[in-house]
Amino acid sequence: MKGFSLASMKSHPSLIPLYVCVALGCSGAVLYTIRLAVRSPEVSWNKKSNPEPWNEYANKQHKFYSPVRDYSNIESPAPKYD
Amino acid sequence: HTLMIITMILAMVLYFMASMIINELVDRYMLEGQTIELMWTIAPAVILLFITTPSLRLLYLMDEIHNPIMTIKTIGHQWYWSYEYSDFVNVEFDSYMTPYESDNKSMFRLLETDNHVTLPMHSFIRIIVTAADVLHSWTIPSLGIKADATPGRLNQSSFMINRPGLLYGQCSEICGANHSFMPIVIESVSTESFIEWIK
Repeated sequence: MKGFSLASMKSHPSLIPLYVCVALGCSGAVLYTIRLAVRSPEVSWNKKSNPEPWNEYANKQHKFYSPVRDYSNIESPAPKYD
Repeated sequence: HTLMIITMILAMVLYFMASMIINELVDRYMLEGQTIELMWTIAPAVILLFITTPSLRLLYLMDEIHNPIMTIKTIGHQWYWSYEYSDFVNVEFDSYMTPYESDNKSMFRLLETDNHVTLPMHSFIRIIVTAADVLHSWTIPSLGIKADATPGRLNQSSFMINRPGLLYGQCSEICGANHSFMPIVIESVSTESFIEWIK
């Protein structure tokens, strides 16, 4: 079928937004999964060197968008069990 | 009656499909409308972007916890809730459902508990929900709050009660034989009454 290769896209330019949206969606899903794997406060790849991965976020912001408070200035209110 | 309607609609759609497949005529003006296709793909995408941006912002803002004055912890067990107020004095209690007395018409069946969660009104309260054994869910529909109680995980939520009174809820995650029999009662009182109670 025409429109699937780079050359035939010129004769079907209306497919380009479709490819863009699908590519955005797929890459969003993949990138978010990778973010969950490496940056989630509950994932620990090496239990000996990182036994409590949530401590990394005591002063950092994990949310994408935080208009209310600046997380680099506040300490997490959770109790410390060291 | 319903089946007849379904059959008629199905027959009509099948007829349209068959006539399209068998039809060899081509409307030469209808195909290959690339510009209009481009427009009616991009324009709705842009409109959706305009809808998404404030919506996502609102979603993040709704989740914010604004300086709660106290934190209560609730732990779901099979089949009761236990509550801990650890901020000033250490108060801990369990909350079991009271069995229904059929001659006491002033109590709600399946909704009353022996210990109510007493909370001050007009105060922002943070609640941390977890479970001790299986999944439960802590909810008060009149406050618009529901948080799953997962063993091994702390889920945080927050609310503010604007009126005094009794607010009811029920466990919302199937947790065994008595899942329908572990209700939640919040008793919302003035701040002075709350301080009296907690002493």
